[in-house]
Amino acid sequence: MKQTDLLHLLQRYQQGECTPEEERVVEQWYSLLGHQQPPLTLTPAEREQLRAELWERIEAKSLDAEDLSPPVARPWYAGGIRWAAAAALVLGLGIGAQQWLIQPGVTPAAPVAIAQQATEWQLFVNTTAQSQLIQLPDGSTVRVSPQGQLKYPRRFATTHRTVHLKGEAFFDIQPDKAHPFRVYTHNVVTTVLGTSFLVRAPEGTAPVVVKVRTGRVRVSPRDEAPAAAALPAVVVLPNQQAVYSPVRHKLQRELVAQPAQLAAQSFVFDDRPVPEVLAALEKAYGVRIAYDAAALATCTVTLNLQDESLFAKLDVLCKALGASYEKQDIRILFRSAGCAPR
Amino acid sequence: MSSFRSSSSKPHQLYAAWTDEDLVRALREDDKRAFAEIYERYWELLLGVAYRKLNSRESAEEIVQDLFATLWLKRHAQDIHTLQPYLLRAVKYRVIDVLKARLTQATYLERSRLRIAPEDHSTEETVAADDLSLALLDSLMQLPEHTREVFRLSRLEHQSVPEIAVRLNISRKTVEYHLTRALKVLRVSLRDFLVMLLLYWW
Repeated sequence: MKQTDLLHLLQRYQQGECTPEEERVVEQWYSLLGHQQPPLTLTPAEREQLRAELWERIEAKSLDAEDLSPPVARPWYAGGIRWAAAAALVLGLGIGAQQWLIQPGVTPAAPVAIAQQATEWQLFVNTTAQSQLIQLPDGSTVRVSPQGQLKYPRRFATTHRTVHLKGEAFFDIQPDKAHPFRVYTHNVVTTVLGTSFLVRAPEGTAPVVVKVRTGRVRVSPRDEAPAAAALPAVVVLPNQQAVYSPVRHKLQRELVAQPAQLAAQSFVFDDRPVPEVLAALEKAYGVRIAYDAAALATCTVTLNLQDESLFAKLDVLCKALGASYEKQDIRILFRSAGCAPR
Repeated sequence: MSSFRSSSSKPHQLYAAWTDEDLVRALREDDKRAFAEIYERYWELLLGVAYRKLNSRESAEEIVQDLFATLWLKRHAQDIHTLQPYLLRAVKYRVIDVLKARLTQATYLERSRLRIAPEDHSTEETVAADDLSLALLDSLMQLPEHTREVFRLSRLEHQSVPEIAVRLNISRKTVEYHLTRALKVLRVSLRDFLVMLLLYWW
């Protein structure tokens, strides 16, 4: 019998179109299938884990899917136009947002609109004008920006910690290697083991940004995102950000606009070689600076750079030397013709 | 996990005491805890069946997930008389779906003359197992009904020749004839490795 005939037979069986004889054959065959196979053996712990995992996935596909289905008509987040406006605002105020990132000083407030869903997912919508601090079941905290929406379970799963975000939020995650923490947004998944980072996921086609403050995170396109197949995940380190552009379907790493100082470091230099200054900057901000060490070896500077940001410090240095710099992905290229020997 | 029922070791005792019929009725009335209790009762059985038929834990898990998700989403549309046979039938249809897909893929592979990378052993074994299950169906198709039934009783229910003779009300010689015939057909049509297996079981 040809394979296509077998296919048709099975097809007919499923549609109830078999002759009684054929039906008996298929049923006899099915009952014989795998009867010599050893059964699936699980330890009690494995069994328990599998039971919980499967249930969680079933919930996601059934109860959750249904709880979210009314939103198809009327989304659980605010309307698209308001979102676009909010996104533009945040993107336009990059420095302001960064300021907030560096000084997370907004007082914690009670969640504004926690709606308990039937599946024990909590939905938090920040309708206030200030960021709001949410405490997750594992002790991690999430500072949700105005207009941000965070969906999180009342209890985390046994294998991983998963939340869903629309809009912007800063995450400070309790380290727990056994339970990776995942932030799902429309286009990308951010996986971390314990760190702090910012996710900005505006609705629509504006880029998704994941900024890392401490630790390291992995950002990968979501499987469901259109044509996600070929994009590899990127690992993002402190002061770097992953930017996903839905329009160009591109995921890349770059430096954040305002790198935060990561390590204590003196920026007072009294007649010091320029390479020493650059090394201090690299160390303090965890940033790679490429430069021609030989050309700069003879240059010395006297500077007090205590209060400025990384790029302001570089500006001052460039002015003093007649040099220039540019950002290239996650590196800084420092260009100088060097100094005339004294 | 985020669930209110399956997570605790002692889920709702109230529901645990319910009959399947009660649960089905409650399910139709959107009772999520009844749904969770149905899962508690049957997930392992269904997973075990799918696993043995497909020899793949991944496929078996997918079937169980998909089956329960569908059970919930279509709870109003479905007419369930008795729960367990209903669920086992649902598993059967899904197992057949998987085998059909594998068959299509195997056909494709054969046509395009692609060879499975030798180092990828798991895939190779899965493909072999599929060939086996479909070759078995092919062979059974070639057997007369009586022969098939004798073969099935012998293999599946491990009944001896005298037992089968009594059960089908035929002579032992006839039973032996059917078994010999079945083996002959299977020998001719199944692959060598399967014949080895059959001989071993015999």
